[in-house]
Formats: sequence, C-alpha cells, structure tokens
Amino acid sequence: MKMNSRTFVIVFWLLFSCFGYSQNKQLLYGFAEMPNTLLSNPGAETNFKFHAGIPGLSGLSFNIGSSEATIADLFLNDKIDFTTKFKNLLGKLTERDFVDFNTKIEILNGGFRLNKKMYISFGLYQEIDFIGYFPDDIVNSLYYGNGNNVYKTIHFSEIKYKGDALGVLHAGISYKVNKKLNIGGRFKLYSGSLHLSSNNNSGTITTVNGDTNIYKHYLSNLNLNFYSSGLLDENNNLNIDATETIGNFFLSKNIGVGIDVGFTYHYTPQIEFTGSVLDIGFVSYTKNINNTSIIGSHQFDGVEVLFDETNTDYWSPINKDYLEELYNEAKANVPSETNTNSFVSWRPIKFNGAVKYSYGRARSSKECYDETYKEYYSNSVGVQLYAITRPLSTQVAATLFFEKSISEKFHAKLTYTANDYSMSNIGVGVSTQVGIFHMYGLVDNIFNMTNLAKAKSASVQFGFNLIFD
Amino acid sequence: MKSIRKNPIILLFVCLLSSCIHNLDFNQVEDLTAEPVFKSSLVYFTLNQITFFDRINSLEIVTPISQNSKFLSLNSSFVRNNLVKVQLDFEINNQFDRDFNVTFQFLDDNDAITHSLQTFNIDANNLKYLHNEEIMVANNQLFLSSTKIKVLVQLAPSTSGSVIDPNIEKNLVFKTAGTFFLKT
Repeated sequence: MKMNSRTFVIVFWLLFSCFGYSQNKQLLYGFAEMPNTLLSNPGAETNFKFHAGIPGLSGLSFNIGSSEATIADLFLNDKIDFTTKFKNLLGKLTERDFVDFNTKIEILNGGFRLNKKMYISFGLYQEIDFIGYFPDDIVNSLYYGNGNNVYKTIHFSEIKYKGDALGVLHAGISYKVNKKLNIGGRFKLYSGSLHLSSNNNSGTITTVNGDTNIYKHYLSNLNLNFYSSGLLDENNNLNIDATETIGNFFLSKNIGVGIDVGFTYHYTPQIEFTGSVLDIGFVSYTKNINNTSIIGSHQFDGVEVLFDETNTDYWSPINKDYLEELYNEAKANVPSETNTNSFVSWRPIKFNGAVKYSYGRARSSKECYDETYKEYYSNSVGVQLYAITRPLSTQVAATLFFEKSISEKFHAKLTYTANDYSMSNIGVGVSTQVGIFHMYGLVDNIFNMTNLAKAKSASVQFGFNLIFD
Repeated sequence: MKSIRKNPIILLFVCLLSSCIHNLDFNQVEDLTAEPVFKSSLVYFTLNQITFFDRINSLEIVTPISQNSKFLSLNSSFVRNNLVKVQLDFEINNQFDRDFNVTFQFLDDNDAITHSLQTFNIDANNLKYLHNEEIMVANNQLFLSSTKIKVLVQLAPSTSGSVIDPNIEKNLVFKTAGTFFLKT
C-alpha cells in the first residue's frame, strides 16, 4: 500500500490513534483566581480591579490525547515489522475509541470591576474542536476483507465525527450575591468558519447463505448524512479559501449564540463548592454548505445467467450488460444526494464541578473588594468532576488536586486525573505575578512530556495578562 | 522585584519546550502491507427440463448449450498489481435423473478463451456437487484479460433409454462464489 507518508501520518495519527479528554481543563479550573478561570467558570471569584490579556497571548491551549494508542505504538524505531504493529493496533481499537483535538487561542481578553459586587469580563477567542470515532467494522473490513468472516455484520453507525472552527465573542459578569455565594454568566456570540460532521448514521452490510446463490449480500437501511461548511465546492472537492476562512472567525453568516453559567459557594470559610456549565448553544451554518445523504437498501446475490426458453437450441444471446444493469440498480436503490441546506450544530456542553477544602496558614483578602474579607489559605485539596457531551456518549473525568500558595503571588497546582482510558495522568500548573505582569503555565500528563510519542494525551496551556489589583 | 529569570515558571516552559519525541521513524509506513481477502457471490442460474427438450420435434437436446455473460473486468491496474489468487467455489444441485457435463470458461472481449476450468461431471440426482478451483494469477496472466464467462451445459445421453419429461419440475441449480486474495 503506497501512500504519502506525511499524509498517512497526519491522517492516521489524527483519526486512529484516538485522543481524548482534551477539553478537560482541570488544571485551569478554579486555579488561583486568575482572570482566565472565568472562562471555565463565569461564577468564579476574582480579586482584582482590572485585567487585560496580552493580545494573542493571554490564553493559549493545545490539547491532544489518546484513548488507546500512542504514536510510539506505530512509529517507534524498534525494528518490529510495521504491518505487525499496525495489526496489533487495529486489534486494540474499538468503535468507542476516538481522536479528540482542541485548541483555543484568546485574541482579546479583558475585564474590569464595575463595583464591589460585579466584575465584567469580555473577549474574543478562536477555537478548533474535532472529535472522530474509529469506524472499527469499516476499517477492518477494508484492511482484512470479509474473507475470514463473511457473515460478520458491518455497521455504518460507527461513522461519527464532528469538527468546528469558530470565533467566539463573549462578555460575562461575575456577581457576588452574598458573603457565601458568587454567581456568574457569560453570553457568547459564535461565528462559524469551518464545519464537518456526520452522526446518527445507520445501515449494515450483512451476508447470509443464499437460496439462488451461495451467498446473499444485504446493504440494509443505509442512511448516511455528511454535513460541511466552508470545506467543499459544488463538485465535492476540498476547497478552503484561507482569507475567507480567517475572516469567518470574526464575522461570518454562520452565526450562533450560547451561554455559560457558574457559581462559587462557600459552605464554610474552608469548604468551597463550585460548578459551571459551558457552551449551552449552537451555530447555524448557512454559508458554503455542501451536505451529502445516501439512503436506501440493496441486495446482491450475483449475476444471473439468463436464457430464453423459447430458444431450445441455445440460450439466446444476452445483449444487456449485466454489470451495468446491476450498478444502475444499486444506484437507484441507494441514491446519493447533495444539497446546500443550512443546518444547526450544537456546541459540546461542558460541565465542571468541584469541592475544595482549604487549610494551613491563613491570610486575609488582599483587597477590600471582597466584603466578606475572606480568608486565603496556603493549601487546599479537593475533587473536580468534568463531563462533556459527545456524539457517542457523555465523557467524564475525575480529578484530585492539591493547590499550594507559596506566596501571595505564586501559586502551584498538582492534579491527578482518572478517566476510562488513563489512570496515571499527573498535571502541574503554576501562576505567578511580577508587578502587574501575570503569567501562567499548565502542563497535563507531565511524566510523558519528555517523550510525547509514548503519551496517550498531552495538554498545554499558558498565557500572559496584565493585572491591576 | 523578583527576578523573572529565577521564576520557576520559566523552568516549566523550558521543560515543556524541551519535550521531544524519541526515536521515531515515520517512513516505516512505506512498509505497510495488506492482504485482504474478499468473498462474493458470482454467477448463478437454474435450468429446468424444458431447457433440454425440443418440444417441436419431441427430442432431447444433448448437444452442449452455452451462454456468454459479462463478468467483472479484471483488467485494471489495481487488479493487475494486487490480485494474487482467485478461488472459485461451485455448488451444483442436479435434480435430474440424468448426468450432466458442465464447462466453465473465461473469455476476453474477442470471445477468446483466457482460462478454462476442468469439465464438471455431475451424476444424476447429486444434490450437492461441490468443487473449488484456484487460479494463481502469476501463472495465468491471460486470466486478467477476462471480461466474460461462458458456461456450457450438456445433458449426458441416457444409459437406460429414458427420456426427460418437460412436464415434471426438475432443476439443475448452479451457484458460484469467488474469493479474491489481494496483496498490496
């Protein structure tokens, strides 16, 4: 099988090595009252007068993770036959494995304190989000054929993927209700640039013992739908206009709206509950649409050799081209249609929840914005839960964390995250402020950062802000 | 003011930026091979007594009757480069009280024989005659020029003097499936 290796690496790594839980920003969530935590919980408390992100650098996150495989599984130069490694990988992957990729770049981010109770924040960020599940039946039947198990059913419902590239203009408010409760909300205006998705597909290929021939092959109840915006021209060829794509991040006809909500509740001065729900919203795609649907059923049991019983000497010559007839029949039974109908893409909704217990050396609030004059402790431990709605099912992750304030201006966070795929994910984050210059860096799966090839997931976030206390 | 150079966050970034991917060879992908095997039904037909009886002259037709039919074109570069072997499975159900001889041939566009299989001799009332035949492509390059199949069916002469009765429903059911072995 000859294929451009670069293309193969990109496609294979993205599609089949199956990365996951990438949007889980467990390190950022609730960390050190940084301005950027307001994007993961609009009800987070802040304790500064004014902040301004460094344009383009206030918040950058790149996340990729693996539910099953690592790059090293395939590409480590270990003298093991590549085909053997490929087959081993195919054997491990199931239709529940996926690739998940997310990047977020804050173009603008700022905020100011309106009064003692309210902090307003706003900004603009670009986000690219993709998830694609491994179509196990289809890949295996293409690679191995149906020779070893001709009766195995192939399910087209395994085709599931969704990707969006969009710009998000947002404004939010964090409001202190009373000394115990802080709530917040954020309104988002989405501008869709690129979209591709296919979900809720159905249909099977099944082979049974036939009556008229040895096998009878069924293509049953096929219903495939592929949606795209900004990607394909009318001839279904990939056609991405770079200028238009970039422009659509900010002002496109693919408009959507969404909200984030969140809260912080101090059960006692030392015990705090927080929670948030992010991206309850949708994007309506209307521009450069190219959708395809393939619907129908067909059955095939071979080519029948016909004869004319009135001609007793010889079977009459058959003028029909049977293959062409069969092809036309299949095409009529399983028609493919392309349309430019607008469609709605729901954003993946994210849920965060946490309980935090603080202890150690206490100090008072650094400023008097906080009417409660709340106590700051040097240490805290807690549990965070995260969930995200995805095409196949909601994915969840649980995190234990330890947060340490080494000084008023330097904070560190250590996390241990467990999910269905990884039980050994340790993350580290630091946040520091020098004068008004604030910066933070968060690295997940820290032990594998020295060799990303063996990592099932990798997540990096960092940013720079100016904070005025 | 605390020196930025002493700030541990710098160490974190240094650690991050020095992250690397060890000892990988993406060119290994050129070594990937696949050997898929695909099975599919091929041609079939059912013949009854009427086919072998000349009603006008009330005579059995004992000369071979034959039919050509279009078949899969094997003459694409993909097939030429990757098809290793074809296995044909035949399953014949003979409900007649008479023997049959069946010959199965592959033809090119000009009706020239590209590959011929041995003649199947099917005994009377053999309800499950099974046969399979392998065609190694490397040894039968002409086979790849096939675009048609030809089937010749001959009713064997009666040894007992009995004549077939076209009013009685009896069939010769002919089924085939192919297994295509590819290597890429």
